[in-house]
Amino acid sequence: MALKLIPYHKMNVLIIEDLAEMRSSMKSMLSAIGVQHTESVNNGEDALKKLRDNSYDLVFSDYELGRGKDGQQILEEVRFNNLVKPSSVFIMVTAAQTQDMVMGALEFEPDGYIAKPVTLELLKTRLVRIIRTKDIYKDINVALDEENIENALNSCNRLAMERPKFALPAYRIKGKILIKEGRFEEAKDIYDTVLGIKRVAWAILGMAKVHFYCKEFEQAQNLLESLAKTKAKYVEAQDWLAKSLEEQGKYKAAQKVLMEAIAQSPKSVRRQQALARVAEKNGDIEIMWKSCRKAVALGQNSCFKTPDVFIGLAKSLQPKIKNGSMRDKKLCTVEALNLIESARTDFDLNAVLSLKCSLVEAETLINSGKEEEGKLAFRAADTIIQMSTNFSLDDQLDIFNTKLQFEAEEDALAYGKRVLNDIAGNKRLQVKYHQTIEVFLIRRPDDRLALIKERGEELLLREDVEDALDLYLRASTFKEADEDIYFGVLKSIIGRFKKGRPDRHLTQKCDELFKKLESLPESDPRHPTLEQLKFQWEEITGDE
Amino acid sequence: MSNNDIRGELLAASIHEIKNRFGLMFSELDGVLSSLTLPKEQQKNIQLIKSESQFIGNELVRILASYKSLDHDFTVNINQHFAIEFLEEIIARHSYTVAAHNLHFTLDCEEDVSGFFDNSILFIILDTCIYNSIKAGAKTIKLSATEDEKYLYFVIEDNGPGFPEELLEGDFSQGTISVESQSTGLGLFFANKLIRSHHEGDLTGSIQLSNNVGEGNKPPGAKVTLAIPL
Repeated sequence: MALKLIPYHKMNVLIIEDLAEMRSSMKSMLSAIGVQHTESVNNGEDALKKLRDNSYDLVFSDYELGRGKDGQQILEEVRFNNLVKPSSVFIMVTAAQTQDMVMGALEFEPDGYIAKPVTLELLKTRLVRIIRTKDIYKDINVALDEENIENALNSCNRLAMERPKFALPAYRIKGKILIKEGRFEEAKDIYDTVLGIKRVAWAILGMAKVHFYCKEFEQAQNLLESLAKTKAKYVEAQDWLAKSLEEQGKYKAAQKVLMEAIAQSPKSVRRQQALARVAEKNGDIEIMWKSCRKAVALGQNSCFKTPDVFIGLAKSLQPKIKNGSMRDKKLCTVEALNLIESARTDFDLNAVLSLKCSLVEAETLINSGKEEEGKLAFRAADTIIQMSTNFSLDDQLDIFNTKLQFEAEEDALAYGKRVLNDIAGNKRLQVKYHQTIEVFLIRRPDDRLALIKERGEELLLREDVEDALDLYLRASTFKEADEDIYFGVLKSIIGRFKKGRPDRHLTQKCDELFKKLESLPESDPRHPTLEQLKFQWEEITGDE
Repeated sequence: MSNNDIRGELLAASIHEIKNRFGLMFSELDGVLSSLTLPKEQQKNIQLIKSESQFIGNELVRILASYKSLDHDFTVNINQHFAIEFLEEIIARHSYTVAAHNLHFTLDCEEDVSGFFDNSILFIILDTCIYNSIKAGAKTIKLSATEDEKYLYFVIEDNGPGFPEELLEGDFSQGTISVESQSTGLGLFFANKLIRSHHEGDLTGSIQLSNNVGEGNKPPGAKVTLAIPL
């Protein structure tokens, strides 16, 4: 197909570009090659509106769009909701410094890339090439336009047969269609075939997705980790890795993967939502707050908007409402109540989410000093609790947390004991349980300290040095921390070193604490233990 | 981590930062320059500035990739790419170089020629070859691609003075560098390292240097042949 045969004059073109000069320069270059109908927008939100209401043959999107959605986010929504016909062309315009990152797209791919600065010459050559390449897959795309899946699959096969050079790209499309249709066994066959020819990244991801959907999470994890080893920046692969880890209950690992992915590409709503979810599971309120806040902001006008992050954000504001400055207290209270209101009005909430809403509402109110109103909200929550029984263990801990504040201590603790019984064997949930009680006892320092000592000894006995160290270090910052706590810190640090996990900061901490304990009189019954610890410590540090 | 490792990491991180900052500066500068209307004389200067900034940017990318290639667990990201699309993009990316150095590119490639390679790595290798040609004073560069049963070949030919004898005779894969052709030799040393990371079965990627002698209608000049296993 020669250049003059491409019917530019019939094409409806949309330009998504935040800079006015760039928009007009693109427009004039396009009209120079014969395009007659162009529209343009300067942000992702408007772009999606346009794309929903109109049909375009050609879309140019700048990757970097300033605030709000970036080009990749637009593309994801476009592909997810079929806002652009499969036979239309979507081109991503990228600057040199973002190119590596952008071109690593495996799942949501544009039809082509054009590197900035865009010149007329560059635009012409790239456009002709991209449109011609697209033309090779015309039969498949037309079938997809008509939503005729069988025809599309047959066209893939025909292309692979007739033009063996295009077999791999044809299989790539076929694999995607099969996954979308839930035909996982056939998809598996396709990816097996491809991987037998070459270990290309998209086929590894495809196979991992098939494993994921077939609930073979460990296999999915293994494939995705092998992909991560290539050091390429496939953020989508990291998303799937995090999902596979999450399904296996490996929340800490999932959080780590997601935080790395977000450092690379922070604007994905679903990635922020996923981080918020696992951070909540890990009881990491700070990260939960950050990711919920971003997810709420990025989710505006997005098809990926969910109520979970609204409620999550309100929940993660509680420490600020409870302990923040007067100003923080006021602002965060208003924000939390607004979020709860939005969650209720903008979404159709199920029982679990309604419960979460009421729990957070009750907490917000009591933490901001409105006890009576809080009680009303708690009563609403309690009604839901009475009516339903299938709450997850995480939810039950949330319920426990709120009960501690509204019910008689005995009743709440009895409920807590029952939950504790159910979470025996789950370390993560046990840590969360104890943190809840710790926070509850914040105004009763002596009880809190006693509880921590009891828990710490239990952890040390189980040789769970990491959790013990976390606990004791936190306690050592309390005003009422005493020698027992220092002993606990020393024991856990020494235990950690013995397990072969030394750390320079901890060495300093140890020296510091030994110095503090120098004043312990010899008559103290704990003195022999101190001598013993000193001896062990010298043995460890003497090795170096 | 040994001191040498730390030194290397520090350098790489710093170059990465410089590269990104430089990219930002470059696009700002580009915006400013394109909003100005300047006399022809200065237009030429601008082309040169743009070309040089692009060169520095590419050079930093190349240093980073070369550094990574020294890692023992360095792996490439293989995907199927069509040669014509790849070469067209190379030429398009060099629009500034073309304008600043009065360069002329020609392209010779069948539509169906394809191979399996890491295109970000091959961009770096081709850039190295193109800059070598420009430094040698070439005015035309011909890019072509062919394939046989075993390999995809990229061939870069120019109309410059050709490679100096010692570079053709010497084994640049060992990183021996003569004073005269220092940067050329070093660039090719890394290009060779990068292309050798492409494997298939027993086959490995390679670079071959030669000079066209200028018989018949073929002009003399340097010739680089890249072979990538299929």
